[in-house]
Amino acid sequence: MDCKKANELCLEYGELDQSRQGELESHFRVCPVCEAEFKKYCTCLQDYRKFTQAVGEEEDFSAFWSRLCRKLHRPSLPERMVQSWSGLLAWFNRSVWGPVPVYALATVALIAFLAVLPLVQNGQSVAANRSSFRSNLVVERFEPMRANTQGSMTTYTFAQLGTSK
Amino acid sequence: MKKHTASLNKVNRIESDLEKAKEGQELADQSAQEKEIQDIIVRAQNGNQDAFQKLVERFRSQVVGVAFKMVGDYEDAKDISQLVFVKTYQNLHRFEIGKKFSTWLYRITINASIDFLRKYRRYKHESVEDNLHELKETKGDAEEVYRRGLIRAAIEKSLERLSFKQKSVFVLRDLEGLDIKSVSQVMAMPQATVRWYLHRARSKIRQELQKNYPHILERTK
Repeated sequence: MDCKKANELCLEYGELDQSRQGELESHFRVCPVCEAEFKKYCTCLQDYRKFTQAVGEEEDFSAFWSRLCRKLHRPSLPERMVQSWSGLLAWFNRSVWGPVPVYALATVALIAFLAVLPLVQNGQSVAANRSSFRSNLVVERFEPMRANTQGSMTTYTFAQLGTSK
Repeated sequence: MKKHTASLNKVNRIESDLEKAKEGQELADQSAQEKEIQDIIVRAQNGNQDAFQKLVERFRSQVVGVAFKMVGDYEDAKDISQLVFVKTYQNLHRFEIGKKFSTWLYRITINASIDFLRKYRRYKHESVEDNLHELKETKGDAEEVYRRGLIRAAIEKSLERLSFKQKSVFVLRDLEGLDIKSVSQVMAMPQATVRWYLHRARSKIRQELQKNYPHILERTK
């Protein structure tokens, strides 16, 4: 095995099957340069691993937990929005319009009013028409001129005498 | 001579038996730990706050460590870990008992870290000078601490060159020490794909170190 191939196998170290692992190790025995380079790389990673292992243990747990608790019990965005507007909503509910039953009563009253309104308007117009009719009433006076009886039916002929208000 | 070989074989057999027994003990310990964790999760799923606190206490360093390796900044890693535990709390009812909790948590952490990197598109790493307090506190060799600082900065700088998937696979396999099967479960990808990403990541890291930081490799004892 040449050094190039050995370098390729180094990149798969830990995932190699036994035969290829054996090939790599036998190359290391005859090529100390490759072995030293690989060992240096491994030591670098090991040092870095050691450093990062200690990272998570730096902060005091109680501080971490209390910070987390604040986030866990933080209300969601819609809830926060409702909370921020709750003062205004309360004022709106209590001072301006009142509670829900008042809304219901107001709605019923509005519907009733809207239903009756045309009738009221219609009645007023009928009365107005009647008065105008009376004021302009023309009474026509007729007198029968003659009666013509044919069998059971009698036909009357009228003559117009005049009009009066 | 025969007697000597026989006694040597006997010693070898005893050694292998001891190793097997040790491995068996380790496996038993692991399964006992896993069972304990599952019990804690069941209690946390039923709304027990203390159980959830235990869970956080147990896995905090793991989550912060992975997040740190992904983003390269301790303060950001702490923020990410908080977010990870909030997500865990909100989705704990979805966790299926019987599966490995740490795998599930790794996946949440990796996803949260990638989201963070996508959002802010940055990778900070503290300079070696930032770690001078470490020099003061360490009783050991100051040069050794300085060398470690250089290695850290070099590896973190090299990690910047990797794609999110390459970085995730490299962190989980080479820095966290997970096996390929677990990495494939965390990353939800086939094992062959994990091997490919790992190969690419290792190759890039080595190239970076050889190209930009040859002195670190030389200095390594």
